[in-house]
Formats: sequence, C-alpha cells, structure tokens
Amino acid sequence: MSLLHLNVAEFNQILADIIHNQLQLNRLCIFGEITQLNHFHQHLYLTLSHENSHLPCVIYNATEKQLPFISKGDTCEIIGQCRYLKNKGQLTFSGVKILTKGTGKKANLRSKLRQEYKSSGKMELKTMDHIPKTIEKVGLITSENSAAFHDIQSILSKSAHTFDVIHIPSSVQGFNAENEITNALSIADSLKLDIICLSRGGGAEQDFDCFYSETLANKVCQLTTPLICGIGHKINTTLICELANIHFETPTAMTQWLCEQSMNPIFELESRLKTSKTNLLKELNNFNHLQETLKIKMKESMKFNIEKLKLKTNELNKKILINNPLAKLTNGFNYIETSDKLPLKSIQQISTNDKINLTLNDGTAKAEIKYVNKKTNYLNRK
Amino acid sequence: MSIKKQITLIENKLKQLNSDDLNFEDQIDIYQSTLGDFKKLKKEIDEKINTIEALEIE
Repeated sequence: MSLLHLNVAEFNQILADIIHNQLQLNRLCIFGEITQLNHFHQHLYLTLSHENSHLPCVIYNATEKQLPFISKGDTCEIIGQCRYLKNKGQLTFSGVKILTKGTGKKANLRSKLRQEYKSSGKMELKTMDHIPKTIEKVGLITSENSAAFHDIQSILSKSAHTFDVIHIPSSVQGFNAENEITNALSIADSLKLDIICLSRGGGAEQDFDCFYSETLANKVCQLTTPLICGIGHKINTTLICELANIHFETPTAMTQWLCEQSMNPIFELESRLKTSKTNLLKELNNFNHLQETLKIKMKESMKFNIEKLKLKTNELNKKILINNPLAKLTNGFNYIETSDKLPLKSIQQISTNDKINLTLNDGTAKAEIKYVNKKTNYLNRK
Repeated sequence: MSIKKQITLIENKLKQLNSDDLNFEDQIDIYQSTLGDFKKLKKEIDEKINTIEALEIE
C-alpha cells in the first residue's frame, strides 16, 4: 500500500475541505454547559462541556449578534457549524445563535458544595495564623517537569529563602489527579513539614475539575500541616483554594510570598540588630560627648589648682624668706641671749654685771651689762 | 606625703619659727628644716606640673 505524502498545509487543507463540505456538520445545535468564557475584541470564545467532554466554541462578531446574557456555569444550545482552523490545525464550533437553558449541572454542584463547606465553617478552619514563623521544610505538590514546577524552581534559585523543598510529584489534571493529589497530601502531611504547597499553572477550566473534588476537599480539611495554594490564574479560585490556609493567583505569586515569609524572621532580626546598633552608637556618642566635657572641666580644674598651688608656693617662699633668722641680723640688729641661752626679749631679764651672748651676721660675742635703764620709751623720746 | 600635708607642715614650722621662746640656734634649725621641706615640695610640685602639661600637649 502506497503512502500519501503531505505537508502540514496540504493535510490541513484536506481536513478543512472534508469538514466544511460535510453537510451534517454545517447546521448543528450543540447542548452543553459553559465552562469557560472569554471576550476578545468583538468575538466571544467559550468552552461547552458535558460530563467529561469539552468543545471549544467561538461566536465571531458577537457584539453584532443579539445574544442573551450568558455566564460561566450556564447551560445553553449553540446553533452553528464546525470549522477547521487551517493555520492552527484546530477544530472549533462556530456559533451564530445561543439559546440559554438555565444553570448547568456542574456549576450547580460546585455552588452547592461551596455553600456546604461555607455553612459548616470549614472554610474558616485554616487561616493565615497557622502559618509558622520559621519555615524550614516545605512540601511541593505539583506535576513533575510542568511549567509551574519550573517557574517555582526558577524563583527559588533567584530568591533568598530559609527552607528546603521536598517535591511530591502528582498529576494536577485529568482522571487520576483527584486520587494522586489526595495521596500526595497524605504523604506530605506525614513528613512533618512546615508548609505544604499545592500548585499548578493555568489551563482550560475543565483542567481544574479535580480542585472541586469533595474527596480532595475533605482531605484538605483533615490536614494538620498548613496548606497554601497557587493554582492557575486570577480567575481560577477553586474550592481547594478557598479551603487552604492561604491561596495565591499563580504559582509564581505563591513562591514569592513563601520566600518572603520565610525570610521575615531574619529581616526582623536584622532590623532589631540595626536598631540596637543605632542605639549603641547613640550611647557611644553621648559617652564621647560626656568624656569631652569631663576632659575640658578636668583641664580647667587642674589649671585652676595648678595656679592656686603656684600662688601658695610663692606665698610660702615669701614667708620663709621673711622668717630667715639670719636675714634679721642686718643694719645693726643682733640676736641677744641671756647666759642661760634664753632669748633676751625684755630689759626685765637682765641686771647690771649679767653676761649676755650676742649673735651678729658674721660672728658671735659675749658681753657684760654695765648699766640697765628700765624706763626708756623709744617711741616717745625726743 | 600629700602636697596638702606638706604645706600644712611647712606652715606649722613657720608658726613655730615666729614663737617667742626659741633661741637663735633653734630658730636656725627650724628655718633650715622648713627651707628643706619647701625645696622638696617645690621640686615635687614642678614635676607634677610638668607631667600634667606634657599630658595636655599629647
């Protein structure tokens, strides 16, 4: 049997021709639940789902068509045709009319489940307060080699953090995801970790089905280890996200927060050390200032005492010079003693013929009293 | 002995020197002793002042 060799463009062209010329595919009415809904320019892109089957749909120039108000979770019928997008090699259902059929089964179930967990208080069981201040061991549940896993690894390699990461691989979408994540959570909870991170990147709405699973939700409620989630994008706030201690819009945001949170005690310590250093420097400055003031005062005091001492020394010197016994023996002044070597201070001490000792500046002499006049007043004499 | 005590001692000796009851020899003895004490004190004070001034320069 010979092979038909085609390039991609040729193959896509053939497929487009087959689909577009197939009359049965040109006028269809498809029923399903809207699980994804996006407006882009004038076009409306949505995913119709029924149980585990999904179909991408588009309504071109939606603003020009009188469409009813629709939102995610509604069921509807879309009338249109199958189109094969040759450039992308994708099949899409191009609708022209939408007929709403009420709220969808999936949306109802999710809403009911959310309400049940909310009214039972399970959504308030896990809070930010349960996150430990010191984070040393973190368990990461995500798909191996996924974009989210690489994003997380990249942030961990660039950002300072205090913890080691134990990766517990699990598929995060598809049929087995619910069981695999539940098992991974059990393993993580037994490892005495500080925090468990559950994460995956963005995707189609149906890829997040497992995060609305009741089994998984109950497992999350039973966890003793705090759980943080970084699942999908801003629009993907799942039931599991709401049950976690804290959830983030993306795996990146989750990892960045985790790194910062783990570093907080170090930053606090650093801040306290800085404050202590500032206070110590302030005290040292005060001490130096006090030391300088004391130094100046001490210098002044010493200067004053030295001057005082110099004056005292001069005064003593003068007194000593004045009191030099030899200095008095000038200008005819002599020192006279009685024969008993007592200072002769009064005329009453001597009588005629008494012997006295004379001391002069340059020698001594002995003399005898020849005459005594006890009435002389030198100050009144004429 | 502290400078203050040395000054007091010299002042006491000067008072003693002015006392009426001393003969000349005793006066000379006390005077010489006072002068000796004063010279010793002056030397000590000068040394201390020099030390303090040297410290201030540093």
